[in-house]
Amino acid sequence: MTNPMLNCRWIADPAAGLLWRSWGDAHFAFDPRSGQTHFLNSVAVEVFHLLDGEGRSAADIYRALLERYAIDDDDALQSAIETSLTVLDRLGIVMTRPA
Amino acid sequence: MRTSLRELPADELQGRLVTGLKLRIGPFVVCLQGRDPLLAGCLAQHYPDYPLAPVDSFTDARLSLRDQAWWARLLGRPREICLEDEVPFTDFPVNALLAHIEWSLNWCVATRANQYLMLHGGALARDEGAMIMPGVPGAGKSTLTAFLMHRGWRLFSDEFALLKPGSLDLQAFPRLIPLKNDAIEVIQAAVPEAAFGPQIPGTRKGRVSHLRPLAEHLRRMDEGARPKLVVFPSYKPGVNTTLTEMARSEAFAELTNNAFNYVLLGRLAFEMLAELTDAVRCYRLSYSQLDDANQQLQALLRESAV
Repeated sequence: MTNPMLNCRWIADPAAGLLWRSWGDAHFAFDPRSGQTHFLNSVAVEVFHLLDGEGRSAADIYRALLERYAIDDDDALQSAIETSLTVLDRLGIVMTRPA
Repeated sequence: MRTSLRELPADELQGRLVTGLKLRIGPFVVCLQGRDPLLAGCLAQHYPDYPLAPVDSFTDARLSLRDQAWWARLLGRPREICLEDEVPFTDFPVNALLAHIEWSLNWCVATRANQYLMLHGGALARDEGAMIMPGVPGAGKSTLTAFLMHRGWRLFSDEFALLKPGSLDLQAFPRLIPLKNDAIEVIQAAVPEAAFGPQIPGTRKGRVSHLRPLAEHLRRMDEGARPKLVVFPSYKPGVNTTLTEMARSEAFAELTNNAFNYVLLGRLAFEMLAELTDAVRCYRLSYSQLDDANQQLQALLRESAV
């Protein structure tokens, strides 16, 4: 993981108060603070839901998903997690903490 | 007691317009005011079957027709419509009065009627239930709505599909349907009995003519209906009629972009549209033949109502 943003701990913004609706692999999150509706894929949603409590680093998320799906190392998953964190950060629904 | 504008003698109509004539248009009471005989003539000709509202009823929108200043007359725009507080809203040549009444009313509803979730689209119903037809301008929704209104579908709206919070019921808001450019001749040919207003050239939407809603639909405008179908129409010259079922996620995303007051209603709008998406079947319609589109939509509605 080369992006310095990925070396910190990520936590879901507890103030976001998102509303969720899903149809198949398409997920929608409504942010009542901005009035915006975000369209997210399944990886982004899984990543988001792993970020409650104390938060996790990107590496933590990666390990958690490998364990959940009982899979070996997967570069595509690692890349998808990085992309998801970048997107969730841009949407303002996650926050970072120092590692 | 007189119940519709048609029943007012010409002198009484003119007299009421001096202080304000209140009409019920769907769930709204609109007060129209102006001394100009042009206004009385326009209303008598194009709004005869709208019910009169009691004089003491709350007014949702007030439109006043005024003469413009001399310099505006010189520019060929001698009349203006003012909204509440005498705020000028639009000015226009005399032949465009009908269009500007309708557009002024559109503006009032779009900016104020936030007790409803407002989708930009047509809405019609049959006994089996209702169909919402959202669409961008030019998609052919007004043309199809106008045709279906004359083929046994009850007009709810051509422009504003109003959904009531707390239920998914559609509120009827039957208005004159503004047909543009070639669509005027298409409907005149397909529905010779259709009651059109004058053709108004040179508007910002091109040549416009307004189609009067059927009197029976105005009499039933307090009857709601439950949506069974959401259909996104697209007129494409020469194509065969095709109905393609959409993924619910795709339909939901389009509906959120289609609602006038989605951001304003926020959480409520999100939940209502999600509920609507779950409750209906959603399709894309490509059509060029109005009769064929009508038959396929009727069949689909019957199937969806089971």
